[in-house]
Amino acid sequence: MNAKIGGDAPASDGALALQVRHLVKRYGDSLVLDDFDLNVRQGEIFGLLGPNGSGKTTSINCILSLLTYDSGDIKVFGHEMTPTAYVLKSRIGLVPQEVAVFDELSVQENIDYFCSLYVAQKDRRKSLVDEAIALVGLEDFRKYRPGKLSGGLKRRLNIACGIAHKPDMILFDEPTAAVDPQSRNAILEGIQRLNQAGATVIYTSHYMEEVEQICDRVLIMDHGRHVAEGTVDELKAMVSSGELITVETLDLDGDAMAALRGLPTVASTDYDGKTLTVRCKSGARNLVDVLDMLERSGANIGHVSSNPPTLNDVFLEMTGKALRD
Amino acid sequence: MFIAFKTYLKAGFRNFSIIFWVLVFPLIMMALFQLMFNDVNDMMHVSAQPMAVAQDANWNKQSGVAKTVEALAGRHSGSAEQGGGNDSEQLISITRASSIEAAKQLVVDGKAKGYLYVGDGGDLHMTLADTTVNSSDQVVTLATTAIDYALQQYNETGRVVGALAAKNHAIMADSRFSSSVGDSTGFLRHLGLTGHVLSPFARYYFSMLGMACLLGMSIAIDLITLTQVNLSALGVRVSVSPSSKIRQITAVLMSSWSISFTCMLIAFLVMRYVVGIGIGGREPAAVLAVAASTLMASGMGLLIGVIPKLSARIKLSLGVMLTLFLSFFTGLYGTQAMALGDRLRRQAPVLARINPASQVCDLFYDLLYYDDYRPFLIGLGLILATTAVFILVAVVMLRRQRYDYL
Repeated sequence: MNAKIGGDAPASDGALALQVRHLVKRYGDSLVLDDFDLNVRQGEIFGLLGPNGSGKTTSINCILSLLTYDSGDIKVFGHEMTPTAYVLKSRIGLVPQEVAVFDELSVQENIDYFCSLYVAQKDRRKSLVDEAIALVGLEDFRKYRPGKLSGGLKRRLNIACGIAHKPDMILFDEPTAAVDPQSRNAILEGIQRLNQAGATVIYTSHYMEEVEQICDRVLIMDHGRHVAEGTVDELKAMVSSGELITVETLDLDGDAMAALRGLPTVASTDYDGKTLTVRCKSGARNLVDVLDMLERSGANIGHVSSNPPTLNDVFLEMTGKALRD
Repeated sequence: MFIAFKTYLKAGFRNFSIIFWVLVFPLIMMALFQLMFNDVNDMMHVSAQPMAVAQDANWNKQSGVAKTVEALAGRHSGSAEQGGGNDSEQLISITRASSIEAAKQLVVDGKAKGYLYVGDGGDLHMTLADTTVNSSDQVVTLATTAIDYALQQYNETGRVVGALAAKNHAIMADSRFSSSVGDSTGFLRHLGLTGHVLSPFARYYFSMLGMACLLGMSIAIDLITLTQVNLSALGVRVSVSPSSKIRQITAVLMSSWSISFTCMLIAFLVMRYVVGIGIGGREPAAVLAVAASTLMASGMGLLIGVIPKLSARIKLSLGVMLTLFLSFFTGLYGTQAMALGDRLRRQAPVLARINPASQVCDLFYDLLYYDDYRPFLIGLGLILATTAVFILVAVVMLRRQRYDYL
């Protein structure tokens, strides 16, 4: 299944920051990117979601001209991207998956060096470095070397090094991998602030919760192919899955279960003697219908929760496997 | 580019493994050399042995014997009776005795290691104590052997003079002949090829400098990997920046050269002023040699660093292996290696000439052994040409690199 909201042409409500057309990349006999298309509008946070090995990092590397590719076109801000497109490169920031800093330099020295690759003026750089340090919350660690920082703080430093020069487009390649929840939230908030300041953000992750939380639009990819694209709501609307209802109850009998399964909104049910799990099809009154049925069967109901479908449900329905398989 | 240069410089100087191999290791080697060669020096040093001298009637009959024994005690004619002797030439310290028995008693009392006396035939003899004969002390053995040789020479000269006088009575009237009899100081003369003192161990130290210099290539290997996408995450970051490859290569080359030059200069200064290995008073030229040598090593490191499809670790290992292999022919690993290196130099001079480790050593030899600067300048030119080739090939290779996978 290959679904796309808005068709093949870029949407009219924003100029394109990045345009990838029919990108093909092979590693030997293995097809890593298979006619891959991508349109990112200026000013949006665009999520690239897919399981490990789906081609997210490879596509980023091709976009940045770090890797050669077999065929396709890549345009950044309307211009062809090449290894020597230095003007374009000066408008791009990268936060790589692996922490890429000098172990021998302090936090401030690292950020200053990477900023200096883009900004020559020392005075301007100083204020940019200060801003970047403040954005990622490393003010108290300016003089620390990376070896003295925790994993989460290192990730923040990694981000600061990639964004200090205030690029127009920033690519985040799984920036929260192996990060504690506190640092993760700080990172996600920082990304949203960068976007609010005008930067276009391309965010790759296999954490669907993060993508749902911050991305305006999402492209789901698998095996190097474009699976689906749209806003989170649009993607969820593409599939037949509805919410997942969980009910704590101790006295459900076989008749009640059969009646539940008979409801037109119910896709599947599961009951372990304590908790009833009901996966619904898409619909507006699912929770009301299920609770009504339980009440009529005379079951005593405890805690009830209803969770809308996730991107994992979307991925599952479109590819037949879960995102984290 | 200056900021990149400064950053690489900081990163390099703060990297302990780099500083260890390029600076600490040569200093350790020099300390080991010094310990080793000090022992050798001690073994070759002759110290004065206490000897009793029996000045009896036989002694008084031989007019030349006193002069010879005084000479063995380091006292030349014209010098004061006490002191004034040159300790480096002093083989004995004299304790006078009136008879052979008195001299023997001094030996028994442990005040002398042996005694000298004149026999009835007029020959000068030495008798040593049992403890002296059986001594395992190399210094004692060397000194007594030298004394024995000197006595033999004296006795032989006496016999020759006696034979000549018997045949030609007039010869003794010749003042030039009579004054030359017993004059052993003119038999040997120190000759030097250069106008300064050469350390017999200079070769080891120069070889060590050659090796230290080549070890400096690891800095360039290490730093250039920081600009390569397939070798480091930093390389990814640098490659997506608008900084060109040429700028990065130049920054790496200049910073790695600065680090290795500083380290090798320190090693050279320690060798020259702490260890005391001379360079013929041509220290400024030696600094130039250090600069050129380290630049060549950085160029070589750059070249190894840009070899495609090898990991950073393999490249570093390759650099170390090359250093060890090339240093073999400079004689760093002992006399056998020296002999092999010399043989190679004679039979395949071109190979010796293109060996970077040999090129570095030769620069210092050229300064030490030749009167003029011509050989040094030729060596310097050769090193700079080699450097240019290394850098040129490295730049071409790096600029052409494209990555199919990371």
